[in-house]
Amino acid sequence: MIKMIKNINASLLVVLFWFVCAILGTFISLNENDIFLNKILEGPSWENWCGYDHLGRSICERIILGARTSLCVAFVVVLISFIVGTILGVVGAWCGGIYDKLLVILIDIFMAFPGILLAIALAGLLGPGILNTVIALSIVSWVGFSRLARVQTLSIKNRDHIIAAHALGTLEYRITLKHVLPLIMAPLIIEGTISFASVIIAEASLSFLGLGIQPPAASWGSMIKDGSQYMLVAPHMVLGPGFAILSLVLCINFFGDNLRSKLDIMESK
Amino acid sequence: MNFDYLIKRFFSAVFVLFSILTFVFFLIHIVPGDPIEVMLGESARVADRYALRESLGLNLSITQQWLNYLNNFLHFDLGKSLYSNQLVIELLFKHIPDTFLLSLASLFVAILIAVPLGIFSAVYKGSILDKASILLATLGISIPNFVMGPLLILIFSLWLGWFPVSGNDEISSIILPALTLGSALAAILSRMIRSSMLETLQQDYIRSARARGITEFNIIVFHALRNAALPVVTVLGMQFGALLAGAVITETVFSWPGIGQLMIESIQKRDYPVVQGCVLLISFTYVLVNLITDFICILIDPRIHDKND
Repeated sequence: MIKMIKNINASLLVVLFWFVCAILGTFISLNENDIFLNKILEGPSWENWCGYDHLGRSICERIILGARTSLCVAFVVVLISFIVGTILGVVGAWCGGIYDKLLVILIDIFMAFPGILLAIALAGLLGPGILNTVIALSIVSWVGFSRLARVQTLSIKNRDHIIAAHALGTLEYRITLKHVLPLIMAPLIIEGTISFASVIIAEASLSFLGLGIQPPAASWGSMIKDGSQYMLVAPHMVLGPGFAILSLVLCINFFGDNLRSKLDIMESK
Repeated sequence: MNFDYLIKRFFSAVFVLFSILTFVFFLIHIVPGDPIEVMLGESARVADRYALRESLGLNLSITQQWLNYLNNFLHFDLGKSLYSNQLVIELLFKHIPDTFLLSLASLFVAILIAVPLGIFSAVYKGSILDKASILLATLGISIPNFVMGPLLILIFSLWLGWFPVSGNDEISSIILPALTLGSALAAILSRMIRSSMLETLQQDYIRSARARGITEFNIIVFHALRNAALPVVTVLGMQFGALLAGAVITETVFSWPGIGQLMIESIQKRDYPVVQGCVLLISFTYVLVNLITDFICILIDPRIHDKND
C-alpha cells in the first residue's frame, strides 16, 4: 500500500483536484442558482472561465457543485455495493451449499440485464431524485463486487493458514474477518475504483435523461442535457461539464489500471 | 461436439429468461404508492381508476397477476399502451428495425476501428503507436455517449455541416449515432484484439510459418488473426448488451426513433406497460445474443467444452 501511495501520478492529482473542488463546494458558499439576466448564454471570459448558461447562472460554480453531487452519489453507491456485495459473496463462498447456489442464481439474473438499462428502468419507475438514483445504482452495482468476492474467497478457502486456523479452533466469523477479508481486499479495491468511474457515468446518464438529480440542483448530466439545446449559440454549456466528467472518469480509469498493474506485479513477485 | 454442454447452456438461458420475465412483472409493483394514481394523476375519476385497475389486472391477487402475465407473454400479449392504446408488441415491432440498424452500424464502426488498431499495437508492441492506441482506448471507454454525441454534433453537424443533427431521414444521419455508440466498444475490442494477438503471435505455428518464408502480412492476417478472433467473439457477444443499453442514451441524443427513445418517452409519460415491454425486449435480446455467442464459440473452437466440463 505504501508503494502505491509513493507512486502519485498525474491522474491521481486530477482526481484529487475534483475531490477538493467537491469538498470546497460544500464549505464555501457558492451561488450556483444566482441568475444574472444580463449574462444569459455569455461565453467564457477572464471573469468567468466557463461562461453562463441559458438562465444566466455561472457554469463554473455549477460544475464545482456538480462535482460534489457526482462524487457524493458515486461514493455512497460504491460503499453500499462494496459492503453488501462483499458480505454476500464471502458468506456464499464460505458457507457453500444452497446459499451459494441461490447467490449464483441471483448474480446470473442480475448479470443478464445490461447494467445501465436496469438502472434507467428502476430510476424511471421509482421517480427522479438523489435517493432513488442511489437506490437504483446500488441495486445494479453490488453484483460485480459479490461475484469477485465469491471467486476470490473460493480460491483461498483451502489455503494452509485457513486450515490451520480451523484446526486451532478459531471461530468462523473470526477466520473470515482476520484471514480471508484482508487477502481478498486488493482486487475488491481495484473493482471499487473501476466501479466508481462507471457509477459517475451512470449517475450523469440518469440525470441527462431527466431521471436522476432534479433541477435546480447542479449535476453534470443535467447541465449537458440543458446545454445540448443551445449548442449552436452556446457550445460552452456542453463543453464545460463534458470536459469535467471526461477528465474525472478518464483519470479514475488510468488510476485503476495503474493500481491493477502494480498489484499484478506484486502478486507475480 | 458436446451436446450435454449445449443443452445445459440452453436450459440455463431459459431459466434466466424466466427470471427476467418475473422481475419485469414485479417492476410495476415497485412504483411508490398506487401505480394507478401515478399513471392517471390524483384528480382522476374513481370510475377511470377502477377501469384501469381492472384492465391491468391489478385488482387480482399477486399470484394470479403473475400467472396471467406469464400466460399473456406466451401469447405474445404484453398489454396496451396507456397513452396511445396501441398494443405494446406492435409499438416494439415498429421501433425494433431502427435500433437494430443502429446497433449493427455501431458494431461495424467498432470492428472497423478496433481490428486495425488492435493488430498494429500488437505487432508494434511498445511503440508510440501502441501507447497512443492505449490512450485512445481508455479515452473511448471514459467518454460517455451523452458527451461524445453532442461533441460530434457540434463539430460535424454545426461547424462543418457534413451530417444532419438528428433524426433518421437521410442515410448519412446514421453515421454520427453509430460513431457515438461504437466508440466504447471499439476501445474495448481493440484492447482485446491486442492482447489476443500478442498471445497468438508467440505460438509455435507462427514461428513455423515464418520459417516457411510466408510473408509477415499473410502470417498476421491468415494465421494469427483467425486464431486470435475467438476471445474477441466472446467479448463482442458480452458487449452487445452494453451496446443495446447505450442505444437508449444515444437514441435520445440524436432523436433516433428506436426502442431506447420509446423507453425514455414512455417513462416520462408513465406508460408502464411500454416500459416493461422495452426492458423485456432489450434484456431478452441480450441473453439470446450471449447464448448464440456461446454456440458460435463452440463451433469455432471445439476445445471449449472441455474447459467447461
